[in-house]
Amino acid sequence: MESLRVRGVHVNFGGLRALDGVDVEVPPGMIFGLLGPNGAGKTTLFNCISRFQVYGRGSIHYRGHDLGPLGPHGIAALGISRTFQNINLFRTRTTMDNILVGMHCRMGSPLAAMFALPSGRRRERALRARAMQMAEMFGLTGVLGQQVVQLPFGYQKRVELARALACEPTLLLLDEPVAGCNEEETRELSEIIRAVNRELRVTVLVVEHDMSLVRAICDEVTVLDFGRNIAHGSPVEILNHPGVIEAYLGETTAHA
Amino acid sequence: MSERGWQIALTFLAFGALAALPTVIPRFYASLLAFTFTYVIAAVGVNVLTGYTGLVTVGHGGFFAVGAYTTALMARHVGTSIAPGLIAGVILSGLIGFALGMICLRLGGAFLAIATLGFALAVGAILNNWPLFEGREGIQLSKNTFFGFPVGDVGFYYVSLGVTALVMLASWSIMRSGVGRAFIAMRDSERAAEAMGINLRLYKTVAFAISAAMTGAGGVLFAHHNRYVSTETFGDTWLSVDFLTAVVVGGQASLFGSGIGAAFVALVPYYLGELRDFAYILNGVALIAVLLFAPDGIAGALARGLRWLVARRRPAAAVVDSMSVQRGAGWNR
Repeated sequence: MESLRVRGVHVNFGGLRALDGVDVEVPPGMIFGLLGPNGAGKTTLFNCISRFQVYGRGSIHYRGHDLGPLGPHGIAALGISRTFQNINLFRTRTTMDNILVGMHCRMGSPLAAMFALPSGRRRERALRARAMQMAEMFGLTGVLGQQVVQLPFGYQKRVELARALACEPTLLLLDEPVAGCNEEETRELSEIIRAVNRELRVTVLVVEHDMSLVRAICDEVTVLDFGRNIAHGSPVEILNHPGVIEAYLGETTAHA
Repeated sequence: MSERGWQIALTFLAFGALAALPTVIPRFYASLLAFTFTYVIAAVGVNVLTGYTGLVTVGHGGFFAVGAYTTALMARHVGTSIAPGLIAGVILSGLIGFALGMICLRLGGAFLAIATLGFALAVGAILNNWPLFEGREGIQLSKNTFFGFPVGDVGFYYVSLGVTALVMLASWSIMRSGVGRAFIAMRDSERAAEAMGINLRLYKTVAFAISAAMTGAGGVLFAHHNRYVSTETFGDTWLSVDFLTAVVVGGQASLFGSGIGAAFVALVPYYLGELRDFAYILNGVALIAVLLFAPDGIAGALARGLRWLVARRRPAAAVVDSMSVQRGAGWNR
């Protein structure tokens, strides 16, 4: 059974058809790539799934739950988490606090938390212990008390991943995770994403236009262009697909 | 001792000193300080919203007025005094805060500031025109009692000191919990906060309600301190501006800052005496100076200064050590 199912989603920006009936099915346990040239509608679809974008016709279901009526905060409870294309951390806070906010859906009773009642304190201790584990997993133990703006780029990327995974999601949405990374950082991040997928058993949906990352980590890929599906298959199949080559390199080059 | 340890120790020391103060100062100054505490309580409330949650309010004078008139009307028509007034005032201003928060949900930045200013103006207009509130004539409160015991200047000092401590403790407890983390997360990045499952609508309205309830408590005590409320004080928006000034000048997202800032705006007009109208100018100058030179306010500047001093002393000691080691090496040679 598929975990995420997108059926015939349409989004119009004025006269522009950003998404023109897109279908995507993400099987559980997979690293699934969403590929396409600039303006293909990848990010729009990503925003539809993460509920920052309203869609017209079509439907998006996760494990049988309709995402349509939910707001951006509603999908966290279903086990969907995300990172942002350009790092979006809580800048004034420490690494620890960022990971703790990631566990918001585990907070329990807000009243018990606010007034430090015994149950609230127990919960807080458990959350902090779990946050320490996450930090250890991502090599952040040494910078737990540091303000995240003072951290180097690579560390900030890892804080964002740790924050996204702190609530133990079952589906992780990554919006161009290696944007702005050099080759070494890209390699490192690819390994982390693979480890997350295998060891934490998180299904991963990656939106990306960087072919090398897609080839390195994705099990299956769907390619969009002009808001439509143009191809689907393994990364190797996709890279040799004439329609994909045409979309990326243009018609004349494809024929040459 | 850690920085946090020092903070807690200094807080206890400060409140201990304030508790001992009435034994050594004249009654008049106890009364002046009690008046200052009502401002501190209001500023701590504004700080919850503006400092921690990042929602700028220029309307909290309205909640101060809600608290003050609630207890004044109860005193007049039901004959109650401080304690019932506090409970009712806190609940009512909290509810009105919740409602205003819902109305202003989609607003942020300057738009929210203007909307809250509108709220303060509306409250002023209602107080001026609805006969129930007696306009400029005002409402007189009878002698203060607290759970049946008559309360004089010194007694009232302790009541308001206690409420100040409670409100600060509540704010501290909330801000170090998951709820406070959610408030701060919304301030730093609404989108990321939402993606982490924080319900912006709910948390913004709750921040509004908590903030308004605290400021309302300040208003209740203010009414009992003066034992008189009228639109002379509550009819315009100067209180709202004062509270926001207190939070910004003192230092946003800092309890100590709210205390210092509130003391500044409460006491400057008093010490200017005949020249009290110049207080507005002084507040404006302080506001501009802080925004230009220390955006984290007096509290932030003090903290930075202290850290700098500590950091300067330690390397200095290290330099002395290394010098003596070198000299020692020379002697041995």
